[in-house]
Amino acid sequence: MFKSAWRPILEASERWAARRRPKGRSVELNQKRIFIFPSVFGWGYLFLCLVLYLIATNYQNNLIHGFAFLLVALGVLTIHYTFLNLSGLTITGVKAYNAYAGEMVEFKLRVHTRNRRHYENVVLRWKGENDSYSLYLDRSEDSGFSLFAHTDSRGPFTPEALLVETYYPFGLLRAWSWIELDLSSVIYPKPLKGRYPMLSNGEAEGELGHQNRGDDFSGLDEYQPGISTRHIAWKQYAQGRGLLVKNYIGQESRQIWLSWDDWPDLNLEHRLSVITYWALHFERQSQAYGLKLPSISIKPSVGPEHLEQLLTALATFSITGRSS
Amino acid sequence: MKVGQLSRQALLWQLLSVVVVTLPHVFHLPWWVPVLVTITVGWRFMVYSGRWSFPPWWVKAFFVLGAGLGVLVSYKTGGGISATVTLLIVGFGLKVIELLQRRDSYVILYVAYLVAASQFLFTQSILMAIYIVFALLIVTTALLNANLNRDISFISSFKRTFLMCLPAFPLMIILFIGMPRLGPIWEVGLDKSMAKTGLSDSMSPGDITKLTRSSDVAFRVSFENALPQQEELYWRAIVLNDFDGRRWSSEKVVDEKLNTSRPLGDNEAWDYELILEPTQQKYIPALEYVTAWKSGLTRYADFTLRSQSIQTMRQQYKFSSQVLYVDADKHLKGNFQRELALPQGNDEARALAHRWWKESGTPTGYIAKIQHYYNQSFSYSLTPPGLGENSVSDFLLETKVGFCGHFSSATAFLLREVGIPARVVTGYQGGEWNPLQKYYLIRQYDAHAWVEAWLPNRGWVRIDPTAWVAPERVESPAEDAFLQDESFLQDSPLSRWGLSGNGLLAGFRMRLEAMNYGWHRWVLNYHHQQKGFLEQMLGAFSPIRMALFFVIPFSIVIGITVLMMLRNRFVNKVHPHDKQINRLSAYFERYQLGRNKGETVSDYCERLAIEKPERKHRLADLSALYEQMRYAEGGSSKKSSLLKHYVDQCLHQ
Repeated sequence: MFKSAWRPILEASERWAARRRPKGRSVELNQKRIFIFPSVFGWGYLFLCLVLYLIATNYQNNLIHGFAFLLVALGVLTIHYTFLNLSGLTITGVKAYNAYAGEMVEFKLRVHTRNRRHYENVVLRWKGENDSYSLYLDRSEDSGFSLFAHTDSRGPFTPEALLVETYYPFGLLRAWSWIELDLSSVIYPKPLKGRYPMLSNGEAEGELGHQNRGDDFSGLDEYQPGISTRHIAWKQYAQGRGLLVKNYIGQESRQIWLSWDDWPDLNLEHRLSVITYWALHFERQSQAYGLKLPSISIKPSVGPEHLEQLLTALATFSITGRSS
Repeated sequence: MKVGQLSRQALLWQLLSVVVVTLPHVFHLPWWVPVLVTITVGWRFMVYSGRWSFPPWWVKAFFVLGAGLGVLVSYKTGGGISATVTLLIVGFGLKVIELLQRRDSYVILYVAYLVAASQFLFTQSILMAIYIVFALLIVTTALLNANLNRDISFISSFKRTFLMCLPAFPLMIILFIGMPRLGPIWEVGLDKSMAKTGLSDSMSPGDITKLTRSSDVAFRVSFENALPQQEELYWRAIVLNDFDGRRWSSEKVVDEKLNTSRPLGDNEAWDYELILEPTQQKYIPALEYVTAWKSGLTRYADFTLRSQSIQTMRQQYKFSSQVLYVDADKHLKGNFQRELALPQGNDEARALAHRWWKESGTPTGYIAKIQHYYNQSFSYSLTPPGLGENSVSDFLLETKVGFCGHFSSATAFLLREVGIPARVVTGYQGGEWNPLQKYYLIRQYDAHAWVEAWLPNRGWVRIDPTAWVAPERVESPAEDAFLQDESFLQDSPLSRWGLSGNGLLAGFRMRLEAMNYGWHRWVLNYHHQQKGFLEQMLGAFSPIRMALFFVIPFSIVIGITVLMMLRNRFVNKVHPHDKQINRLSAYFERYQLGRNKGETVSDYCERLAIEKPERKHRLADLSALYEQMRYAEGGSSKKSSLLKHYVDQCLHQ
């Protein structure tokens, strides 16, 4: 009940904070962007000072007074030390990698400073993520590292705000800043194995067996119903490794079309996943493959750039896109 | 390293902190506590070095039970602050053994701060203060190490903490000077485990021998204007009225208060300030007839001062005193029953008294007779032979050797026997003058006992029979008088060694003592000077001035600290190779294609190449050459000009 009463206030303050968050490819932390507040241990420290002050007062012991005052003075200085351990850091989003849905997506970041002092134990973490990086920056060096974020569905992906925080030097205070780095990546559909694509359509030759018409042995593949028994690797079957098919790469490359219409029985997401699976499969086999979606068509080809183009098309595909 | 787990270096610092803060407590802790802490720290260290593993639960349970029992047994009578400190030390000693997480380390380190500070409840010397500051630095370094994500060297982490703590010291001094000191908020539990020191409330000759051997400080006194002579310094503390044949005591404490503070004629008055070490007793030594004293003390009819509660802390008092002997009217009509009472026994002494009284007739003559008798054949010694059942007769007629206790006991007896009211007073006599800080230092070996007799028309008169026999005991500081005696300072040979030298060593000791006095006056008893000192410094006292007193130094110190850290801002010295890259970036800035902050040169060239494909090859050359020059082979002048050439080409293509 308490929590629910708080929620609107929390949400409002979150919106307010989000508006104020610095945004950009590269953000330098300064007074305006750094928050600072005592940690649990900081409150404990304050309590310790109070206890010492009470003991000193009660026993009229001036040396304990001095001891308590020394700790208080150190606490006051620590506010500045903690602040200075964040102030002056510049955080740059270097690169956003793409990933498949359900995978962790990698972001390359870089932290550097123009100051010639040490930065100790600065922790960086995406909001809502566990993966964190604990940074140590020697005099005016810079540091590059990767932070990962969870993904769940395909599409363009922008990480949540980046938390930069530190408790250094004594853990009494927490200085932190939320920044929004201008980084975005594309999350491809999660590859899911499905029925072998129909090769009968398009420019591909009619028969299934044709895929294995080449001369050069290129590896083993799992058996799919409909593949000619000539290609089954009986030796491996006898070894108990299951039903495998010998693969040969043809001299003359054939073109395969991965078509939206090939899997009419599957729903949208599942269909995209299956197409992704086969695209990866043919990329590994170095067989040219093309994509036919209701809205877009990509000519068969092979190579990482082609794959990326195709996967991006799959990632951003939507039914509404078809109608347009 | 798991999140929240302590690094190995941090762990070592934790163990060191525990040892460092426990060490000075060893002298007053029950013997098993240091043993326990040694075992737990040792065990944790063995786990650290991989030789042992963490103790199983039953070993921990055994430790906890054992320690609990130990505390109960050691402090079954209740131990006040000493028991509390023991509990703290035992607690964090036990916690050490399972120390692993950062969370645990905070508990241990905060308790370590407490334990370190509590040392000041037991010892307050300058050396101890220095040690505790050192311990504070160690504990703070441990705190720093718990917040590092990497191991840094032992020395450099201590150095870093030291530099961070350095500006805290001036701030502490400001707080120390300015923060108001409140009185005790609640009644402090009495520490029954602390031994009483100083004078005892009874005297059977023999007791004071022990005191004479101790060179502990009893109190320090500074006089404001007039300075009394050494032989005038009789610090009265306790009046003993009751004699049972062997032992003088105060069966029933005189509780009749003497409230008037009427000055006694034109007698010289002394104003002085007295810093009394804790005695665990109530008496307050003061000179003669005290006319002005601090509230909280009570003056009684026998002219003694007592505090309401036991003196557990060092206290500072301001007094005015006058010479006593004129208070004739107060007890004039009194019957002096108590001051004349004598028990059975000591018949030879009684006979002697009556014979002298018959011969002299007047009190003055009678006292002169006694003095004459002492001067004939008595001698002063700190190690007199024992006395039998009739102690006074034995002393007067047989042994004839003794110290102040013997002489005052016998004299008071002789006076009472012939009807002169008399009482024994114990306190201190004399003191050592420190010319550097101008104060008297009175040590326990200055303890003394003398007699007061009530004479018609004169009131209470001080008679010191010891001074008749050994005038040097009174006319010069005790250490000079006693030096010949072997039992003097038997318990502390070092102080005796320091006392005897007259030249360099004595001067050094004087200086040390003077420093100690400053320490006592300005640090340990600062709360007595605070008001005057602040007023002197700030002129009139006002809240605004007080606020400024804190704010200005704080701003200055913190400002300097932050500036020192910011001063290290790095002004980027441009490398000659980078100059060329900057030229490139400046040129492309007009197409919004400047080099981003922190972008590597190769990344930048690749980005440019995408935007300006016609320059692709030159840019690739440039990037490769730059990398080679900066990070691999270094640059020759030929290469530098080549780099410049490439940039030129990129710009003018």
